[in-house]
Amino acid sequence: MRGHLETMVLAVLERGQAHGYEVLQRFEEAGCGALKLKEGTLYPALYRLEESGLIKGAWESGGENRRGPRRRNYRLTAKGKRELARRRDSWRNFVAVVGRIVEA
Amino acid sequence: MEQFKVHVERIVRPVQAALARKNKMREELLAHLVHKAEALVDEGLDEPAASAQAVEQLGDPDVIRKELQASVPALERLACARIPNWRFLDAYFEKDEGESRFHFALVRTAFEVSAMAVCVLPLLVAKWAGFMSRGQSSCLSCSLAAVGFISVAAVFIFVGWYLTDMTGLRRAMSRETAAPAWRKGVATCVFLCFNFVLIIGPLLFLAWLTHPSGRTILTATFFGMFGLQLAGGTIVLLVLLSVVCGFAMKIEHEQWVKWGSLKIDD
Repeated sequence: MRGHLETMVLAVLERGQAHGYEVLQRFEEAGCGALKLKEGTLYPALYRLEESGLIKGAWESGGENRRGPRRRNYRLTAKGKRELARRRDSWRNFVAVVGRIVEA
Repeated sequence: MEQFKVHVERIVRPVQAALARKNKMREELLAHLVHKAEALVDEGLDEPAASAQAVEQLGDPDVIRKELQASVPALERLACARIPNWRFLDAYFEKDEGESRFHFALVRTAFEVSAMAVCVLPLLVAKWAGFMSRGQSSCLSCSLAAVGFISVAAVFIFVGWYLTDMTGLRRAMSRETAAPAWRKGVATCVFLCFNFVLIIGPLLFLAWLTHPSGRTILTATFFGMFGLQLAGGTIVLLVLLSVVCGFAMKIEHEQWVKWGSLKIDD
């Protein structure tokens, strides 16, 4: 799941920048509820991706109107886009090969 | 919010990482819990139930902590490894309940003077041996100088520790003291400068002992041995280092007030 979680994060960030909670909401919209993902495990994945330069985070500037603690928005970097494309290819290959065997 | 902060702190506090990184973790996890609970309240749950569910859905704290730790670069993890007996240092600066200022200063002076004597003694013996082999009779003056130096240092150390307590410097550095962060920074800076003098003093003396012209105190002065620039540079460096440490203490204290003071034990 760990490797896939990172790919999933990259994929949802392709739709635009998002903070951690929003990333999870996008997962929910895509029907990830079935994966029973524990929400806290998202943040280490975000940090790993940020550390490897695939995404870039920045604190949101809400000014005085912001309610509650500040959030950190993440966006995909150029390197992240290339990595996402590579992982997508790899995933498609995996699904094609395993799918042929499992569904045979 | 307080309940969330405690839960976040339970997860993040044991992580070995730089302060900035840990603060990022803290703020993000806290923001997540707050927004999650708000969303659950909007869905119709009452606040206690929403808070409990937000915490539950975040996941097992041990698992999150391990994953957070794994996301920290190895070098940073190593640099931020905790010193196991840190409490020993705290105890050194703390005065026992009912302990007099005199006793407090005396115990620390005895310890520091002993440490200083242990450093000076081998060189003094070596110097003695050198004098004897050359048939010189300066052993006595050298020994007297060593005893004199240590005695003067002991007085300074004692007065320093005594005053440190009297002026509230030690208390100002204590985390529990409700003093502004800048004051704690300045207290640390002053304290470090004082201790640097204690460290540099014996080093200068050792240098004097081993100096060829060190037969009298006057011929081997501080400036004569090291040169004015080097001595000045050393002092400037020490002051700068103290200021940096003081500033770090200020930041550390601010963080402690915000997160470190939370009681995370059940």
